[in-house]
Amino acid sequence: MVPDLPEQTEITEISAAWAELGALLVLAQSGDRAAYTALLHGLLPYLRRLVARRLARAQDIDDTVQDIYLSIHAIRHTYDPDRPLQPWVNVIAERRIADRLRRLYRQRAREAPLPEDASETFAASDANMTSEVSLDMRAVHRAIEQLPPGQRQAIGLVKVQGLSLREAAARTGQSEGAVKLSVHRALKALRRVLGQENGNRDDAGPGGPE
Amino acid sequence: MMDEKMTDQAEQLIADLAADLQPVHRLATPLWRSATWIGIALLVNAAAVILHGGLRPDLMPLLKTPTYSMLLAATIVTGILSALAVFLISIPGRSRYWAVLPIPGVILWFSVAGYGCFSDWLRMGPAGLQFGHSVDCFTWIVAISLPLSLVLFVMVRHAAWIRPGPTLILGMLSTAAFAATGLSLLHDLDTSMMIMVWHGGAVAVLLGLSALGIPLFRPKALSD
Repeated sequence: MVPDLPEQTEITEISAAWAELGALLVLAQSGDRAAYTALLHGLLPYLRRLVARRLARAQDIDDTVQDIYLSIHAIRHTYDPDRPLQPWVNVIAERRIADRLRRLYRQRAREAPLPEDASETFAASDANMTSEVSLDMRAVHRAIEQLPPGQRQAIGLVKVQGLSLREAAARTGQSEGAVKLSVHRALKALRRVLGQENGNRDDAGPGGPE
Repeated sequence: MMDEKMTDQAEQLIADLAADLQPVHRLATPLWRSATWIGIALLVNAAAVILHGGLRPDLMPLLKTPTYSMLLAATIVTGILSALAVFLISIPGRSRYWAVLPIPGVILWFSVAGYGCFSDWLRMGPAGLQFGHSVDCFTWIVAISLPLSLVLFVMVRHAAWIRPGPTLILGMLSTAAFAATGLSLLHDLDTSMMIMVWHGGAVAVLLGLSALGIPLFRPKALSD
Protein backbone atom coordinates (compact mmCIF):
# COMPACT_ATOMS: atom_id res chain seq x y z
CA MET A 1 0.00 0.00 0.00
CA VAL A 2 1.37 3.42 -0.89
CA PRO A 3 1.72 5.47 2.27
CA ASP A 4 -0.12 8.76 2.29
CA LEU A 5 1.97 11.84 1.82
CA PRO A 6 2.20 13.69 5.09
CA GLU A 7 -0.32 16.44 5.41
CA GLN A 8 0.87 20.00 5.49
CA THR A 9 -0.02 20.16 9.16
CA GLU A 10 2.17 17.14 9.93
CA ILE A 11 5.20 18.74 8.29
CA THR A 12 4.55 21.89 10.27
CA GLU A 13 4.26 19.83 13.45
CA ILE A 14 7.53 18.03 12.79
CA SER A 15 9.46 21.21 12.10
CA ALA A 16 7.86 22.78 15.17
CA ALA A 17 9.10 19.82 17.22
CA TRP A 18 12.64 20.24 15.87
CA ALA A 19 12.51 23.98 16.48
CA GLU A 20 11.49 23.24 20.06
CA LEU A 21 14.41 20.82 20.50
CA GLY A 22 16.74 23.43 18.99
CA ALA A 23 15.51 25.97 21.53
CA LEU A 24 16.20 23.42 24.30
CA LEU A 25 19.77 23.00 23.04
CA VAL A 26 20.27 26.77 23.11
CA LEU A 27 19.13 26.76 26.74
CA ALA A 28 21.45 23.82 27.43
CA GLN A 29 24.36 25.79 25.96
CA SER A 30 23.80 28.32 28.72
CA GLY A 31 23.77 25.56 31.33
CA ASP A 32 20.05 24.75 31.75
CA ARG A 33 20.03 21.13 32.96
CA ALA A 34 16.27 20.65 32.77
CA ALA A 35 16.24 21.81 29.16
CA TYR A 36 19.18 19.53 28.39
CA THR A 37 17.47 16.52 29.95
CA ALA A 38 14.31 17.30 27.98
CA LEU A 39 16.34 17.62 24.78
CA LEU A 40 18.13 14.29 25.21
CA HIS A 41 14.85 12.55 26.09
CA GLY A 42 13.18 14.14 23.11
CA LEU A 43 15.91 12.92 20.75
CA LEU A 44 15.88 9.33 22.04
CA PRO A 45 13.11 7.83 19.84
CA TYR A 46 14.44 9.61 16.75
CA LEU A 47 18.02 8.46 17.35
CA ARG A 48 16.94 4.90 18.05
CA ARG A 49 15.02 4.79 14.76
CA LEU A 50 17.91 6.36 12.86
CA VAL A 51 20.46 3.90 14.24
CA ALA A 52 18.18 0.88 13.90
CA ARG A 53 18.10 1.45 10.13
CA ARG A 54 21.81 0.62 9.96
CA LEU A 55 22.44 -1.72 12.89
CA ALA A 56 20.60 -4.87 13.78
CA ARG A 57 21.74 -5.96 17.24
CA ALA A 58 19.88 -4.34 20.11
CA GLN A 59 23.10 -3.87 22.10
CA ASP A 60 24.86 -2.18 19.14
CA ILE A 61 21.93 0.16 18.67
CA ASP A 62 21.98 1.09 22.33
CA ASP A 63 25.76 1.59 22.44
CA THR A 64 25.64 3.75 19.31
CA VAL A 65 22.86 5.94 20.67
CA GLN A 66 24.99 6.47 23.78
CA ASP A 67 28.03 7.34 21.61
CA ILE A 68 25.85 9.92 19.84
CA TYR A 69 24.83 11.41 23.19
CA LEU A 70 28.49 11.66 24.24
CA SER A 71 29.33 13.42 20.95
CA ILE A 72 26.45 15.85 21.28
CA HIS A 73 27.62 16.59 24.80
CA ALA A 74 31.23 17.18 23.71
CA ILE A 75 30.46 19.54 20.83
CA ARG A 76 27.22 21.15 21.96
CA HIS A 77 28.91 24.55 21.57
CA THR A 78 29.03 24.06 17.78
CA TYR A 79 25.24 24.35 17.39
CA ASP A 80 24.20 27.62 15.79
CA PRO A 81 20.63 28.68 16.81
CA ASP A 82 20.13 30.27 13.39
CA ARG A 83 20.44 26.89 11.71
CA PRO A 84 18.15 23.85 11.85
CA LEU A 85 18.91 21.24 14.49
CA GLN A 86 18.13 18.11 12.51
CA PRO A 87 21.09 18.26 10.07
CA TRP A 88 23.37 18.99 13.03
CA VAL A 89 22.13 15.89 14.85
CA ASN A 90 22.20 13.79 11.68
CA VAL A 91 25.88 14.45 10.92
CA ILE A 92 26.88 13.48 14.46
CA ALA A 93 24.68 10.38 14.37
CA GLU A 94 26.04 9.28 10.99
CA ARG A 95 29.63 9.55 12.23
CA ARG A 96 28.95 7.41 15.31
CA ILE A 97 27.03 4.83 13.24
CA ALA A 98 29.96 4.67 10.82
CA ASP A 99 32.38 4.23 13.74
CA ARG A 100 30.29 1.41 15.13
CA LEU A 101 30.04 -0.33 11.75
CA ARG A 102 33.81 -0.01 11.25
CA ARG A 103 34.41 -1.53 14.66
CA LEU A 104 31.98 -4.36 13.95
CA TYR A 105 33.70 -5.11 10.62
CA ARG A 106 37.08 -5.15 12.34
CA GLN A 107 35.75 -7.49 14.99
CA ARG A 108 34.20 -9.72 12.38
CA ALA A 109 37.57 -9.92 10.61
CA ARG A 110 39.33 -11.40 13.62
CA GLU A 111 36.57 -13.05 15.64
CA ALA A 112 33.79 -15.45 14.92
CA PRO A 113 30.92 -13.52 16.48
CA LEU A 114 28.21 -15.30 18.39
CA PRO A 115 24.98 -14.85 16.54
CA GLU A 116 22.15 -13.10 18.32
CA ASP A 117 20.42 -16.48 18.79
CA ALA A 118 23.59 -18.13 20.06
CA SER A 119 21.89 -19.68 23.05
CA GLU A 120 19.31 -21.31 20.83
CA THR A 121 21.88 -22.58 18.38
CA PHE A 122 24.09 -24.06 21.05
CA ALA A 123 21.40 -25.69 23.06
CA ALA A 124 19.83 -26.58 19.75
CA SER A 125 22.37 -29.29 19.09
CA ASP A 126 20.83 -31.06 22.05
CA ALA A 127 17.41 -29.52 22.05
CA ASN A 128 16.85 -30.08 18.35
CA MET A 129 18.23 -33.58 18.70
CA THR A 130 15.72 -34.36 21.43
CA SER A 131 12.91 -33.00 19.37
CA GLU A 132 14.08 -34.90 16.32
CA VAL A 133 14.34 -38.06 18.38
CA SER A 134 10.86 -37.56 19.68
CA LEU A 135 9.64 -37.03 16.12
CA ASP A 136 11.38 -40.21 15.16
CA MET A 137 9.87 -42.02 18.11
CA ARG A 138 6.42 -40.99 16.98
CA ALA A 139 7.22 -42.23 13.51
CA VAL A 140 8.54 -45.48 14.96
CA HIS A 141 5.38 -45.97 16.98
CA ARG A 142 3.29 -45.25 13.92
CA ALA A 143 5.32 -47.72 11.89
CA ILE A 144 5.05 -50.38 14.60
CA GLU A 145 1.27 -49.93 14.63
CA GLN A 146 1.22 -50.81 10.96
CA LEU A 147 3.15 -54.10 11.36
CA PRO A 148 1.34 -57.44 11.20
CA PRO A 149 0.23 -58.54 14.72
CA GLY A 150 2.93 -61.26 15.15
CA GLN A 151 5.79 -58.93 14.21
CA ARG A 152 4.30 -56.13 16.28
CA GLN A 153 4.15 -58.35 19.35
CA ALA A 154 7.66 -59.70 18.81
CA ILE A 155 9.28 -56.30 18.42
CA GLY A 156 7.26 -54.91 21.32
CA LEU A 157 8.56 -57.59 23.64
CA VAL A 158 12.17 -57.81 22.45
CA LYS A 159 13.08 -54.25 21.35
CA VAL A 160 10.66 -52.07 23.27
CA GLN A 161 10.31 -53.96 26.57
CA GLY A 162 13.81 -55.43 26.26
CA LEU A 163 12.99 -59.10 26.98
CA SER A 164 15.38 -61.82 25.89
CA LEU A 165 14.41 -64.08 23.00
CA ARG A 166 13.74 -66.91 25.45
CA GLU A 167 11.45 -64.77 27.67
CA ALA A 168 9.63 -63.49 24.61
CA ALA A 169 9.25 -67.03 23.31
CA ALA A 170 7.87 -68.14 26.67
CA ARG A 171 5.47 -65.18 26.74
CA THR A 172 4.07 -65.84 23.25
CA GLY A 173 4.28 -69.61 23.21
CA GLN A 174 6.39 -69.52 20.06
CA SER A 175 9.83 -71.01 19.49
CA GLU A 176 12.84 -68.74 19.98
CA GLY A 177 13.61 -69.08 16.28
CA ALA A 178 10.11 -67.92 15.34
CA VAL A 179 10.39 -64.88 17.63
CA LYS A 180 13.82 -64.09 16.20
CA LEU A 181 12.47 -64.30 12.67
CA SER A 182 9.50 -62.07 13.52
CA VAL A 183 11.81 -59.46 15.08
CA HIS A 184 14.09 -59.63 12.06
CA ARG A 185 11.21 -59.13 9.62
CA ALA A 186 9.73 -56.37 11.76
CA LEU A 187 13.04 -54.47 11.85
CA LYS A 188 13.39 -54.85 8.11
CA ALA A 189 9.88 -53.48 7.57
CA LEU A 190 10.47 -50.60 10.00
CA ARG A 191 13.76 -49.72 8.37
CA ARG A 192 12.00 -49.56 5.01
CA VAL A 193 9.14 -47.38 6.27
CA LEU A 194 11.32 -45.01 8.38
CA GLY A 195 14.04 -44.83 5.74
CA GLN A 196 11.51 -43.44 3.29
CA GLU A 197 10.41 -40.83 5.79
CA ASN A 198 13.96 -39.81 6.61
CA GLY A 199 14.84 -39.43 2.96
CA ASN A 200 12.48 -36.48 2.79
CA ARG A 201 14.12 -34.69 5.70
CA ASP A 202 17.79 -35.28 5.04
CA ASP A 203 18.32 -32.34 2.72
CA ALA A 204 18.09 -30.07 5.75
CA GLY A 205 21.33 -31.58 6.96
CA PRO A 206 23.77 -30.27 9.54
CA GLY A 207 25.99 -27.28 8.96
CA GLY A 208 25.18 -24.03 10.71
CA PRO A 209 25.06 -20.56 9.23
CA GLU A 210 28.35 -19.04 8.09
CA MET B 1 12.73 -6.85 28.74
CA MET B 2 15.81 -5.95 26.67
CA ASP B 3 14.23 -2.62 25.80
CA GLU B 4 13.68 -1.78 29.42
CA LYS B 5 17.31 -2.50 30.24
CA MET B 6 18.45 -0.32 27.35
CA THR B 7 16.18 2.51 28.25
CA ASP B 8 17.67 2.31 31.74
CA GLN B 9 21.17 2.68 30.29
CA ALA B 10 20.12 5.63 28.15
CA GLU B 11 18.32 7.20 31.14
CA GLN B 12 21.42 6.80 33.26
CA LEU B 13 23.61 8.43 30.58
CA ILE B 14 21.16 11.30 30.14
CA ALA B 15 21.22 11.87 33.90
CA ASP B 16 25.04 11.75 33.96
CA LEU B 17 25.40 14.16 31.04
CA ALA B 18 22.88 16.57 32.52
CA ALA B 19 24.74 16.47 35.84
CA ASP B 20 27.96 17.24 33.96
CA LEU B 21 26.43 20.15 32.02
CA GLN B 22 28.38 23.40 32.13
CA PRO B 23 27.58 26.58 30.23
CA VAL B 24 29.53 26.76 26.96
CA HIS B 25 30.53 29.58 24.64
CA ARG B 26 28.80 29.14 21.34
CA LEU B 27 31.16 29.20 18.37
CA ALA B 28 31.08 32.32 16.21
CA THR B 29 29.97 31.91 12.61
CA PRO B 30 32.35 30.07 10.24
CA LEU B 31 32.88 33.30 8.27
CA TRP B 32 33.97 35.20 11.37
CA ARG B 33 36.20 32.34 12.55
CA SER B 34 37.83 32.04 9.11
CA ALA B 35 38.49 35.78 9.11
CA THR B 36 40.07 35.49 12.55
CA TRP B 37 42.34 32.69 11.47
CA ILE B 38 43.33 34.43 8.21
CA GLY B 39 44.19 37.48 10.31
CA ILE B 40 46.41 35.32 12.51
CA ALA B 41 48.05 33.88 9.38
CA LEU B 42 48.83 37.39 8.15
CA LEU B 43 50.25 38.34 11.56
CA VAL B 44 52.48 35.25 11.64
CA ASN B 45 53.73 36.07 8.15
CA ALA B 46 54.35 39.69 9.16
CA ALA B 47 56.31 38.44 12.18
CA ALA B 48 58.33 36.20 9.88
CA VAL B 49 59.15 39.16 7.63
CA ILE B 50 60.31 41.16 10.66
CA LEU B 51 62.40 38.24 11.98
CA HIS B 52 63.87 37.78 8.52
CA GLY B 53 64.95 41.40 8.53
CA GLY B 54 62.66 42.61 5.77
CA LEU B 55 61.16 41.51 2.51
CA ARG B 56 63.26 40.09 -0.29
CA PRO B 57 65.09 42.92 -2.04
CA ASP B 58 63.82 42.06 -5.51
CA LEU B 59 60.14 42.08 -4.51
CA MET B 60 59.08 45.22 -6.34
CA PRO B 61 60.36 44.22 -9.77
CA LEU B 62 59.13 40.65 -9.21
CA LEU B 63 55.58 41.80 -8.50
CA LYS B 64 55.52 43.16 -12.03
CA THR B 65 56.21 39.74 -13.53
CA PRO B 66 53.01 37.77 -14.18
CA THR B 67 54.39 34.45 -12.88
CA TYR B 68 55.38 35.81 -9.51
CA SER B 69 52.28 37.91 -8.94
CA MET B 70 50.04 35.06 -10.07
CA LEU B 71 51.81 32.68 -7.70
CA LEU B 72 51.44 35.08 -4.80
CA ALA B 73 47.76 35.58 -5.61
CA ALA B 74 47.21 31.82 -6.00
CA THR B 75 48.67 31.04 -2.56
CA ILE B 76 46.55 33.75 -0.94
CA VAL B 77 43.36 32.60 -2.70
CA THR B 78 44.07 28.96 -1.77
CA GLY B 79 44.78 29.93 1.83
CA ILE B 80 41.55 31.90 2.15
CA LEU B 81 39.30 29.38 0.39
CA SER B 82 40.65 26.41 2.30
CA ALA B 83 40.35 28.31 5.59
CA LEU B 84 36.67 28.94 4.80
CA ALA B 85 36.24 25.27 3.91
CA VAL B 86 37.87 24.14 7.17
CA PHE B 87 35.64 26.30 9.35
CA LEU B 88 32.53 25.25 7.42
CA ILE B 89 33.01 21.48 7.27
CA SER B 90 34.19 21.23 10.88
CA ILE B 91 30.68 22.23 12.01
CA PRO B 92 27.97 19.54 12.03
CA GLY B 93 25.02 20.46 9.86
CA ARG B 94 27.10 22.23 7.22
CA SER B 95 27.42 20.44 3.91
CA ARG B 96 30.59 18.41 3.47
CA TYR B 97 30.69 19.61 -0.14
CA TRP B 98 32.22 22.86 1.13
CA ALA B 99 35.40 20.78 1.08
CA VAL B 100 35.75 21.40 -2.69
CA LEU B 101 35.77 25.18 -2.23
CA PRO B 102 39.57 25.59 -2.46
CA ILE B 103 39.89 23.57 -5.68
CA PRO B 104 40.07 26.64 -8.00
CA GLY B 105 42.84 28.11 -5.84
CA VAL B 106 44.73 24.82 -5.77
CA ILE B 107 44.51 24.46 -9.56
CA LEU B 108 45.78 28.01 -10.04
CA TRP B 109 48.58 27.54 -7.49
CA PHE B 110 49.74 24.24 -8.95
CA SER B 111 49.63 25.43 -12.52
CA VAL B 112 51.61 28.59 -11.78
CA ALA B 113 54.12 26.73 -9.59
CA GLY B 114 54.30 23.95 -12.16
CA TYR B 115 54.86 26.52 -14.90
CA GLY B 116 57.67 28.03 -12.79
CA CYS B 117 59.31 24.63 -12.44
CA PHE B 118 58.87 23.96 -16.14
CA SER B 119 60.45 27.24 -17.18
CA ASP B 120 63.32 26.67 -14.71
CA TRP B 121 63.83 23.32 -16.33
CA LEU B 122 63.78 24.84 -19.81
CA ARG B 123 66.30 27.45 -18.70
CA MET B 124 68.62 25.35 -16.54
CA GLY B 125 67.86 21.72 -17.28
CA PRO B 126 67.39 19.19 -14.43
CA ALA B 127 69.41 21.40 -12.08
CA GLY B 128 66.48 23.83 -12.07
CA LEU B 129 64.31 21.28 -10.27
CA GLN B 130 66.65 20.68 -7.36
CA PHE B 131 65.97 22.17 -3.98
CA GLY B 132 68.56 24.78 -3.16
CA HIS B 133 69.25 26.42 0.22
CA SER B 134 66.99 23.78 1.65
CA VAL B 135 67.96 24.04 5.33
CA ASP B 136 67.36 27.77 5.53
CA CYS B 137 64.21 27.42 3.51
CA PHE B 138 62.91 24.56 5.63
CA THR B 139 63.49 26.57 8.80
CA TRP B 140 61.21 29.32 7.49
CA ILE B 141 58.57 26.84 6.39
CA VAL B 142 58.47 25.37 9.90
CA ALA B 143 58.60 28.80 11.56
CA ILE B 144 55.45 29.88 9.72
CA SER B 145 53.58 26.58 9.48
CA LEU B 146 53.98 25.32 13.01
CA PRO B 147 52.27 28.19 14.87
CA LEU B 148 49.58 28.36 12.18
CA SER B 149 48.84 24.62 12.40
CA LEU B 150 48.72 24.72 16.19
CA VAL B 151 46.28 27.64 16.26
CA LEU B 152 44.08 25.98 13.65
CA PHE B 153 44.20 22.66 15.50
CA VAL B 154 42.97 24.32 18.68
CA MET B 155 40.26 26.24 16.81
CA VAL B 156 38.75 23.22 15.04
CA ARG B 157 39.53 20.44 17.52
CA HIS B 158 35.79 19.69 17.81
CA ALA B 159 35.99 18.39 14.22
CA ALA B 160 37.59 15.26 15.67
CA TRP B 161 34.04 14.18 16.55
CA ILE B 162 32.73 14.46 13.01
CA ARG B 163 35.15 14.96 10.10
CA PRO B 164 38.76 14.59 11.28
CA GLY B 165 40.26 13.54 7.92
CA PRO B 166 38.91 16.28 5.62
CA THR B 167 39.47 18.91 8.33
CA LEU B 168 43.09 17.85 8.68
CA ILE B 169 43.73 17.86 4.91
CA LEU B 170 42.08 21.24 4.32
CA GLY B 171 43.70 22.73 7.41
CA MET B 172 47.13 21.68 6.21
CA LEU B 173 46.33 23.02 2.74
CA SER B 174 45.45 26.41 4.18
CA THR B 175 48.55 26.42 6.38
CA ALA B 176 50.73 25.38 3.42
CA ALA B 177 49.24 28.08 1.20
CA PHE B 178 49.87 30.85 3.74
CA ALA B 179 53.37 29.51 4.41
CA ALA B 180 53.98 29.68 0.65
CA THR B 181 52.77 33.28 0.62
CA GLY B 182 55.22 34.11 3.39
CA LEU B 183 58.10 32.21 1.82
CA SER B 184 57.63 33.89 -1.54
CA LEU B 185 57.86 37.28 0.18
CA LEU B 186 61.09 36.31 1.96
CA HIS B 187 62.98 33.87 -0.11
CA ASP B 188 64.61 33.96 -3.47
CA LEU B 189 63.34 30.53 -4.34
CA ASP B 190 60.03 29.32 -5.56
CA THR B 191 59.29 27.07 -2.62
CA SER B 192 55.76 25.94 -3.47
CA MET B 193 56.79 22.43 -4.36
CA MET B 194 58.87 21.97 -1.25
CA ILE B 195 56.09 23.33 0.94
CA MET B 196 53.54 21.03 -0.65
CA VAL B 197 55.83 18.03 -0.23
CA TRP B 198 56.41 18.74 3.46
CA HIS B 199 52.79 19.52 4.31
CA GLY B 200 51.52 16.65 2.21
CA GLY B 201 53.97 14.39 4.03
CA ALA B 202 52.77 15.62 7.42
CA VAL B 203 49.14 15.00 6.46
CA ALA B 204 50.00 11.53 5.18
CA VAL B 205 51.80 10.66 8.42
CA LEU B 206 48.95 11.93 10.62
CA LEU B 207 46.26 10.20 8.56
CA GLY B 208 48.35 7.03 8.47
CA LEU B 209 48.71 7.03 12.26
CA SER B 210 45.00 7.51 12.76
CA ALA B 211 44.23 4.78 10.19
CA LEU B 212 46.47 2.47 12.22
CA GLY B 213 44.14 3.10 15.14
CA ILE B 214 46.38 5.52 17.01
CA PRO B 215 43.75 7.87 18.41
CA LEU B 216 45.38 11.15 17.41
CA PHE B 217 42.21 12.80 16.32
CA ARG B 218 39.68 10.49 17.78
CA PRO B 219 37.73 11.52 20.85
CA LYS B 220 39.04 9.69 23.88
CA ALA B 221 35.66 8.69 25.18
CA LEU B 222 34.96 6.67 22.07
CA SER B 223 38.30 5.10 21.29
CA ASP B 224 37.97 2.16 23.64
